[in-house]
Amino acid sequence: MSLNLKSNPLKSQDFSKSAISLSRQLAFLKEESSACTRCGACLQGCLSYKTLNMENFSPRGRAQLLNLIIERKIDLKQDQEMLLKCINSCSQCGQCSQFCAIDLRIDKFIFELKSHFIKSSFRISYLKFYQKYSALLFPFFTFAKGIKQAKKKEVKSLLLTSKAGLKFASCALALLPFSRVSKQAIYLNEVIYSGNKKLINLILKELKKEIKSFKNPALFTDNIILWRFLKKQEGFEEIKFILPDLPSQKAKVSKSNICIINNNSLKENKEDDIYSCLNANFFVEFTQEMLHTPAGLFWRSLSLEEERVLSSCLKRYEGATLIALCAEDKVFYDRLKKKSKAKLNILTLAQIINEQGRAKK
Amino acid sequence: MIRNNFEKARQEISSLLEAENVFCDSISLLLNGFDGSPVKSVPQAVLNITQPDKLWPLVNLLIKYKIPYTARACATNHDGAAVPLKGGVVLNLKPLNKIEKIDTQKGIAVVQCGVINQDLQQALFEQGYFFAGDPASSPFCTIGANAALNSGGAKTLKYGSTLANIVAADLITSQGAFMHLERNFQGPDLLSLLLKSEGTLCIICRLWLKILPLPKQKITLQADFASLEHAMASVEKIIACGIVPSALEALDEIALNSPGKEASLLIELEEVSYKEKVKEICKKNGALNIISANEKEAKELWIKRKAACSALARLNKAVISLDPCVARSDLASAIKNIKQILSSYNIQAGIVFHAGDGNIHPNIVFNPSNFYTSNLINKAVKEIYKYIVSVGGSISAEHGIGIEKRAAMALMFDEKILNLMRDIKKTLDPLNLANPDKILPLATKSEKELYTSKDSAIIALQEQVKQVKTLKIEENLLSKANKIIELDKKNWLIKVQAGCQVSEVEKFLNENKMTLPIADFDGTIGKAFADGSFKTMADFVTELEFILPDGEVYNIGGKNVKNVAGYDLIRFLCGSLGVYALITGLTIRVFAKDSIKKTEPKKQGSFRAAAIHYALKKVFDKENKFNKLEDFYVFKLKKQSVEKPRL
Repeated sequence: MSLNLKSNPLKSQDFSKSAISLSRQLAFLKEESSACTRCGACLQGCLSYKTLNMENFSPRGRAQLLNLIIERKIDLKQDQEMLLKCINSCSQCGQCSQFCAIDLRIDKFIFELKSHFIKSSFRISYLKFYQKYSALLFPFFTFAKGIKQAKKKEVKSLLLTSKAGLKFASCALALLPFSRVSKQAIYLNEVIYSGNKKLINLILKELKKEIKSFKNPALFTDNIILWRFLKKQEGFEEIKFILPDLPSQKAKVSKSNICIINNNSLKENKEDDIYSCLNANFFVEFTQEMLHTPAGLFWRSLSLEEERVLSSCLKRYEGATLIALCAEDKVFYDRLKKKSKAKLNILTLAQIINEQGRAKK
Repeated sequence: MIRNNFEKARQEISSLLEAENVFCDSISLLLNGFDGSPVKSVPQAVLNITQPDKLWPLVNLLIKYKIPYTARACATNHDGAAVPLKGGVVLNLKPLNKIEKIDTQKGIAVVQCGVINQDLQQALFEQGYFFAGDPASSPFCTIGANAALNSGGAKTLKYGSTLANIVAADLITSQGAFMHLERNFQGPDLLSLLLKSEGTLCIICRLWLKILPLPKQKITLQADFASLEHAMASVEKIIACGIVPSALEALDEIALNSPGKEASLLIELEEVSYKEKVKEICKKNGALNIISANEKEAKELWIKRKAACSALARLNKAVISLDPCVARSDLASAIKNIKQILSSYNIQAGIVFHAGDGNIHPNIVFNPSNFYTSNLINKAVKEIYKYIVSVGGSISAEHGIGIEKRAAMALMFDEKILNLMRDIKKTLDPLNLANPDKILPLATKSEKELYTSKDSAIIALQEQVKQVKTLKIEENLLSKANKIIELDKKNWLIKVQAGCQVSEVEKFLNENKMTLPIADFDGTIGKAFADGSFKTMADFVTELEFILPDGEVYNIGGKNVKNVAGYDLIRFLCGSLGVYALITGLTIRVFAKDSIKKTEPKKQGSFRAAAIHYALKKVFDKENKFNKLEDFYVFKLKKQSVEKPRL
């Protein structure tokens, strides 16, 4: 963090062009974001606040931040690093809105911010940021190993975030060229927030294809909102979800063979019917292995340059296990592994599921 | 000026805290200059405090460079106390969130100041204990802030407010001294004075909290009433029976969102045997229906109650939550009047109140961008405060004063008391660096008439104090001021002069089937209070009258059980051994006979005086007229010395 002392930012008038355009683009959120009464009830749900212990990384702070951006009260260029940190520390888990008395969707604000940054000239700095904090970028490692690795390499952001159980998927959105989103599925959850029906349908189609490639149908999500959304869709009725971290629910588990990984975000929800579709033995072993993997990400749309960045980041995670969500992902990971020349284990989810099944028999 | 000072100190601060904990970017500055109130400001830097040991050198550094500092953690307070008004630095204490020790044998938990209240409750719950400080915002407020504002909450009626449950603390005074203070230390109760100063006299570092075993059983009753008077009559009857519910809350129809019921009581009982009796009382007093909730339902009821304030925000854009407190007997009329004031200004508000202790929360919902209504609200709020003061209540029962109620302090206290408080702040923090410009009105003159006593014995005492050069304060001095002034059976309070013998008062109360919270004591009430035999007696004293060496008589407090306005002089003077003031009268809470465990006296003697004792002595007694500090202290410290921190 630079120790740059500046004049009173409220009075500063020097704004870059991008700040003005950003402010205009986000102006439609103004009414909502200024509705925050700053009561602080959201603080109890926010994992990033609990770990990073600073208002900058709290939902309340982020709502204020959005206000400040819209009102053009901050110098975007000078405080780029902090701005990106504030936004990226949000895992968009949506816990804050569950505690918010007026149902503000701060995760939605952050989604808007992220997508606008990607579009705008901030994209380059965004990428640079990820290069620096690669741990945020590439969370495809097993949990325990990841922590060990991180301690060795002193990747602070990883330690913090994984301790809090943050999900990383949304961060990866930054690397995807937004213009190509319509062709490829990205993090479905965020797309649903965007309300773009065309895009959603495309992604659903894509997902259905994905599911068919498994022997046992599988889908990946990490969010109750997404789960509810998918449940309503045609062709997704058979999909089962598995939740980690719920020892008390193990007894209720019956049979299933699919996994969905996430912690915390579903913890507080009393959706008994979700738990009833879990497979106990499978569930336990599986989640220990994959507690902190992001879900629903498709990496195939990366450009060569972005692939290069990723593979260089991978070098830091020597010995980690990458879990591919489908066969196509595995091809991509193999390619990354070759480029990075790091020792990595690559498994597909189908492999894991089948192995689990065999072990059970 | 301040910015220049910070520039000079920056190097040293960042080498002390490590550069990564010093934030000067505009985002951090703008995002750390607000709290739950509408006030905002911008500091010069935000400092993350990650180790408690660093606080002491840091505060000294800030004093050295004359940089104002404001402590801030979750900043969910409603009063603006965490806003860095003069800029300077914001100390982010949230990272100090370690529960250091839970000792169930001694009944003590040691926590750092940034621990979230509910995190502590959870940790204690696993061991079968709980901490009695339980404000509605417990899931997102820190223990340090609870102490600094003396937060109340639902359990105050039975267990007292946060301060009553704090045993000791490590703190850094605004003079830059590191102090470990305990409630049981002999001499004046410095701990309470410094802790409950909203950060204007000290920064809290670590707290030793009293923890209690969880009650074996707990039941919650919900009783709906068609009228407020009926609800209040039930509350009075319940307490008159000697039943002290662990919580006694009430919501009005807007907060309940159910028209037709004017009030709904939530009664939490730890003695299940009283359940039928309470039900009977409620029924007799016109309860429409009574629901006894099981554990799961009760939890939901309490969540609903605790979220009431923020949920009202749905009705409009913003909420201001006020927290005036009146005597319990005035509660019903106070609510009626407040409603009338609000409706006369056409302002919408939901009222939630702690029925057991007379604390009302009018939660005003409004649109802050509408200047017209904002203006109206200001007027209405002032009128409410004026009304509250006129019935002898307090403007703040648990939220604190901060900036929001600063001006209203001039309504509540007369100029003498305000000057006394100003002198305390000025002496302990001459540069006005610790959370500057909070609590005390800056220039506003008090609108309240100066307090004078009409009692001949007190007037004679005043004359005596004025005439003599030195005066030894002892119980014989008050032999003529020995009247029992009033027994308020409705509010369960007794007003006595300090010269009354404890045994006499107890006898008088026994005739009325009541009792004092303190055990038998050979001496006067004034002695029991001032010689430190009962260090926790201040928890039961709601009003105090005292004479200072200038011969003026002062009065602080009232009939309201909860009061956090200004510095806690009542607690400070408890056990002060006549060094600072001559206590002449007290109002004490009384209880139904055999319903309370009495505090046993402990013989107190000399105490260890530090620089701060001398500083405060100069505030109260410039000419050293009353008892000398030298008569009581054990070992002498140089006046200007600072105590070294225990690292």
